[in-house]
Amino acid sequence: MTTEEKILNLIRSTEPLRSLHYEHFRFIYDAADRALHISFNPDEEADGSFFIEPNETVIDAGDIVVHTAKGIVVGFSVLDTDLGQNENAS
Amino acid sequence: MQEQIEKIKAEVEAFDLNGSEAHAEAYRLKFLVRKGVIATLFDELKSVPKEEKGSVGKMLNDLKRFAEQKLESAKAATSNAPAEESLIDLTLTGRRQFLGAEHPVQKVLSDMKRIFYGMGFTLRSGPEIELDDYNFTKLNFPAGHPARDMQDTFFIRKSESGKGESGKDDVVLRTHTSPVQVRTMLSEKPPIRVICPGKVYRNEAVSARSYCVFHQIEGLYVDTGVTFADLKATIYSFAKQMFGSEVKLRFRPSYFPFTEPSAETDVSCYICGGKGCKVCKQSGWLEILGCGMVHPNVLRNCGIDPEIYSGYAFGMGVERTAMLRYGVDDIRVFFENDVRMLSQFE
Repeated sequence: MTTEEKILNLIRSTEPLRSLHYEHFRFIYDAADRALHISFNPDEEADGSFFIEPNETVIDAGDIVVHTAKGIVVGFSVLDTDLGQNENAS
Repeated sequence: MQEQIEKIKAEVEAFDLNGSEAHAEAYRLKFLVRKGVIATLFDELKSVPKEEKGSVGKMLNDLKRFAEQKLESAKAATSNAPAEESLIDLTLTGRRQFLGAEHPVQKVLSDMKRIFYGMGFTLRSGPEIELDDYNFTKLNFPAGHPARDMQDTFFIRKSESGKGESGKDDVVLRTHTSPVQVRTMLSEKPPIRVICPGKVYRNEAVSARSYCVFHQIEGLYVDTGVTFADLKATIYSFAKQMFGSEVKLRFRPSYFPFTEPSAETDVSCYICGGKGCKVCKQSGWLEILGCGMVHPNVLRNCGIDPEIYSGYAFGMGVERTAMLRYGVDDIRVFFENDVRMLSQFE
């Protein structure tokens, strides 16, 4: 399973992300922090964040912080994860 | 990290928004923007040990929610507009606007005035609280006339001279609109051609046929060479316009102290065409007014020489005409202001 497929599975199994409408996403793995950052809209800078609590996701890929701009989800980060460590893609 | 979150929560709690938009904006810039305190804490979440991330993340969510709610509450308090908007329920059905309508008595009175204006009459009015002198004496009511009795008249002030005798200082609620004619003749010189509508008062038992207050309209024409034929023509023209061109008129000899000769005028029942019905009590005729030639004593009392001038006068009850026109059999309904009745005349 590719990283994109794993990310798609993560989105579909995480309650606040499941109903998102997006055309595509980009991701980048930060090896120093062991964090995977996914962006639905690279042109939009996030102005807020919230934490996905464990009971809101069925996949234990890591802790998830969702980023929003004017209340709309523009991306999320998966912390303490190895997901995507072998590749950076867009 | 937990201690830091607790400290910032205390700062959020302590921040005085002071009910002003400037304070609210300062609060937002400090805590809720991208580079604000809370967002920075989220950035630092990655450095929290993995086993603590869950609880710290939940605390951060709670802190952010708490800070946002405080700002929203402050904005709602400083701005009335959102509060007012919340009171408007756009799903409510509209309210019908009820329009008032002319009272049936006023409607009839307006029709009467319009007809007499068309015949060259002008309008005069006078006080409803009237001197006995104008209400009775100058109108040739002899002392002891029943109308002077307290049984028929509301006295505002009554002299001690005894029942049935005239007293110049007596004050009454006018029993007819004729004192307006007296005042007109005293203040104007012939030719006089006026109508005098208004409320009059009678000390009568209230029943379906009589009421203690009602409306009259009287007419007066004084000039040289005025005859009963002029009176008949005027009444005839009025009746045709008021009740329809097919009506017939009947003049019956009568008596009023202030006219000589006097007559009561009937019109053929415009409901049954004279055949007899409930409204005309099977007689085929409806009594509509009293009239006559102005008594020479009245002209004299008002400073008009009866050797030079003559005149006619007539008067009718407006409620009675309205009852006939609208088929109302109880005069009291005109004064009860029952919307169920009045709304039929919209």
